[in-house]
Amino acid sequence: MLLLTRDRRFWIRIRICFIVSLMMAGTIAVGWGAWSLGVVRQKELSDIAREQYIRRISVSARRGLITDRYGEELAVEVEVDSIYADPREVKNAGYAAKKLASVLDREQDVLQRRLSSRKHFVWLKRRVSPSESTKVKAMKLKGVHIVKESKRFYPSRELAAHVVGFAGMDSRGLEGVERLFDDQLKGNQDAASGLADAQGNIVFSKGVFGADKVVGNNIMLTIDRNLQFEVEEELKNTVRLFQAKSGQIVVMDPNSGDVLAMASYPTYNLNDITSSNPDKRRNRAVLDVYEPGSTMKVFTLAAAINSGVLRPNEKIFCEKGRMEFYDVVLHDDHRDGWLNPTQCLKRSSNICFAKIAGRMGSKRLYRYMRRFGFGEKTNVQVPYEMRGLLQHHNEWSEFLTATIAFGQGIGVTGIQMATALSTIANGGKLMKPNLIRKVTDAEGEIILENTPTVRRRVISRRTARLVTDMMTAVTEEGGTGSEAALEGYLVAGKTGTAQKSTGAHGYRDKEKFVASFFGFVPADNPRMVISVVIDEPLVSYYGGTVAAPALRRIADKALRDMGVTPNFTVRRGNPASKAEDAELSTEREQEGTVVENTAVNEQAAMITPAEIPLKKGQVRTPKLIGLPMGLVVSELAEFELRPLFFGTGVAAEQTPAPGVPIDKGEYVQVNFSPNGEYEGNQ
Amino acid sequence: MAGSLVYNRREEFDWVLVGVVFLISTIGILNLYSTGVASGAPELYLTQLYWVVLGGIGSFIVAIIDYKHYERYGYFAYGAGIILLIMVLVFGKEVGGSVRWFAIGEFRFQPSELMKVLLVVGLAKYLHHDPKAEGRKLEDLFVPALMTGLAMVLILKEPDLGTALLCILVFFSIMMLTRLTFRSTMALLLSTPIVAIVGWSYLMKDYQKQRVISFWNLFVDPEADKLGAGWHANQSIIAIGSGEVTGKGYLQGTAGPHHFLPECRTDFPFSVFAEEHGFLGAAGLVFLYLFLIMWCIRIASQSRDRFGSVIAVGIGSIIFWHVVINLGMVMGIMPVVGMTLPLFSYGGSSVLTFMLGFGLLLNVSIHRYRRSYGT
Repeated sequence: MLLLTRDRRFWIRIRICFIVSLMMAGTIAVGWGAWSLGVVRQKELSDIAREQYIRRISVSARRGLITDRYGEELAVEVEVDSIYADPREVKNAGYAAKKLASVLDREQDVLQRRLSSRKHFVWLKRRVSPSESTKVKAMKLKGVHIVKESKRFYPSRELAAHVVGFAGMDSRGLEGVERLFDDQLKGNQDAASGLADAQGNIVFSKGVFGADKVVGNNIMLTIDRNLQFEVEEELKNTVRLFQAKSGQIVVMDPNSGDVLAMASYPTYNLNDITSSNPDKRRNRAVLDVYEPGSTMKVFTLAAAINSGVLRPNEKIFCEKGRMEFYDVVLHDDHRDGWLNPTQCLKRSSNICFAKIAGRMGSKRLYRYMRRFGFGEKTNVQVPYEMRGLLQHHNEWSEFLTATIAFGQGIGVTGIQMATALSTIANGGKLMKPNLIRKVTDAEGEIILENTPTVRRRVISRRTARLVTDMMTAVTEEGGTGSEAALEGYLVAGKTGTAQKSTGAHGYRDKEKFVASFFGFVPADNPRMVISVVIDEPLVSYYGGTVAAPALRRIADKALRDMGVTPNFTVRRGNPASKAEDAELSTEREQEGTVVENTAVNEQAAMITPAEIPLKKGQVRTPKLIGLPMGLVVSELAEFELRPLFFGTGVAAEQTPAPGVPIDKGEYVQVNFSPNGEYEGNQ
Repeated sequence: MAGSLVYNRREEFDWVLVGVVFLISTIGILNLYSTGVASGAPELYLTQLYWVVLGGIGSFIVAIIDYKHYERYGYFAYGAGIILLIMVLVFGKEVGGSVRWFAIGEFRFQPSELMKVLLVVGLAKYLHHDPKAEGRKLEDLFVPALMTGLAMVLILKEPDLGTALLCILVFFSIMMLTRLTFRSTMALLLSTPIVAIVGWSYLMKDYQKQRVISFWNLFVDPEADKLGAGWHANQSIIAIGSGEVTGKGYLQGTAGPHHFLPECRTDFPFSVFAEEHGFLGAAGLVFLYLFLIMWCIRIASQSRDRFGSVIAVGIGSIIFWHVVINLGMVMGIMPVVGMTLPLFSYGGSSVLTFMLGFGLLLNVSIHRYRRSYGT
């Protein structure tokens, strides 16, 4: 050591102390900084960190199911593989892209670009087929991963396509119930979280997918899958047979307002949306506004009777089928003289209804039309419902009043017509039509349930009964709708044949018609209202010829499926007696009918199916219960019948019942269950 | 020349210094592993490990040769450093707008890092031969100031603001150890704002100014400029704070691996460390550095001659300023200047420089009882 003086030693110590304290101070300052961040501000900074590191990401959560009114699935979720990559893990993007391109049917350079990006996550291909995913798995490429995603699948393809609608790639409802109830179905979509990096890219090497996915709510429609199927078949056949442009059918329960079937044609496969166009995807029953033509007369008649303008037994002079009305001449197809209201409806006399409208006056007729629900939305659960076209009565000329009375100069939708007709069928109440029966969550807890809602009373029960009887006459012999007459059931209906207005040319286009028929069955105890509208049929254009047979066939099948006992002793025909009866006290007549029906029903109950006579082209339904599926198929093939199967196992229930006559080529519905006992809907 | 060239007395070996350095470098490598493992470059910690091992071996070689031999070549070492700095300006590789590196194949060498230690050696040599026991007058400051200034200007030319700043700070620190007259002290204190103004006006580049401005903005209004130039500081603060008291756990951090801190391996390894180990871990690390610095002062006060104590204080002050500036920067107390954290930051030049420094420290420490020669 150097020899130092005391003084120097002292000063050296001072300087060293100074340096030490300075360095201590600096270090303590830094330590204090760590304290203030890590201890004092820990909560605030942790929150910021969580917010920026953990990014909520949207993976397709499991969408809820859509089922028919009995729980048969119309829209389900299936798990499919999607392939993604973490490009930072990928060693050789070119090699990986080349291998993947050969399997995934994607451009190699597109894949390579994605694989060489600087992100932590890129989709390579979403929702691949099982074989593609197996092949990719087998490659064992580093950084290429597979994740399970949900995909919407519609097991019944085009069944109720327009009602159900569809959901797109990102599980967003785009049409129909899928769109309208998207919030319910999709559930809490951003439930899964992942770590994000500074660019906001999601980094989830730790399998956050599916961690706490929330399942959407299930929706039960009021649609009856079987009936819907039959209705669609019938609609398709009718449209094709008459070479029509399009068509729509609505079947509704008049007592509850439940829409049992809603079909549009052309239709499309929900699993293959890309191959359809917007025209095919149109739910015509709600979106197409058309001039109804003569079917409107039912409501004019009901309005006139209910308001007391027209007595049920009075007679109207029909002008021998020709009446000059302002500057035009009204024609009827028939040259009748005096007609009672029933005959007016049965013959569908425009002249008579013009006269009735004249008596009612525009204001009163308008009010009734509004009360029947025309010119307003029915609020059925379909997106973008049309309200139709009904001008205010201030705008009505006397001429327009007359034409509206027989259905020209007013625009309606199929659902409006079915809802309005339900009013006649159920004794005068306007119901809110329903497509959604209930919404339940994943545990089956009811979120929303639609109970029958009466919007208002439109006509009296008496009026409804009178009009029902008059409508029944339409399907009797000599009526315009005789094609709709049904063996064993009373059908109340009305034909409509409307020339389509083509803008400036008015009604001059003789080629284009809307043929329609609507009615309800059984007329004495209505179970369903059916509205059939066929747009621009080429082969024939009368509603009675084009649309009425479709209604008959639908009603026939549906009533049998529902187990409504046919009444074979109901007198068919003799319009005179009916018409004459109508002139008597209606109350008495109604009571008589009820008594008669009770007796008849008892009688009908005693008839076994085997006693029902076979018609030409009919066979008796074979007994299928207890048979395995294979035998059922061969059995049906032998009788030239078509199968409609549900479930698996042994045949447990069949419709129609064994021995019931059935047309060749018709569907026989068979429900299978593993133990041979059917536990489904009754 | 008498005496053995090689150290031969076991009990004088400075196990404490070796232990602390070993501890810090081990933690540093583990921390680098953590920053690399999720960001797709896990092999970086291995490179660092090679440098540490290489540097460690080098430091032992440096330590066992008595430092009197270095003292003899003190000016030569300083001169070599200056020549390297000039050469790098001529032949150096430009990276990110500054010329700091010699590129020899894969390896990049940064002479300005080495210059810090060589400057200490040069200053030690000068002070050793010019004790000025009665107080250093203003004119006696001229030569050391010139030595520092020459190195500084060359480094600023690259430019490398952080290292240049460090040269001044090391100069001040060493001068504090020597006895100064009152006038010299005042002159040194006054020169600080002058250097700052001159540096700001003529020497600093725009991006450097921007960092200082953004630091100031962040200081005044912490919410502003979060995505711009203040991004790093802000992200670093969030990372440290989110570690809370006990941390998220080793390899559980999110800031580094997920690119919130793009320079987490060079300038911000402490943020990652604090995020994963919390305040307790951070405080422990700070304490280790403080202990190391205090140990340097201890070595300085025990050294056998002036050359040794200046070396020890010089190296200690290099470590001190690196630690304080780096930690101050990552905690948002200071503006962001490129200052590495000793043995924590990734980089061969930095590791080798510090290892050279430790070698010198160890040398001074283990040769403290030897007689000095030639004076």
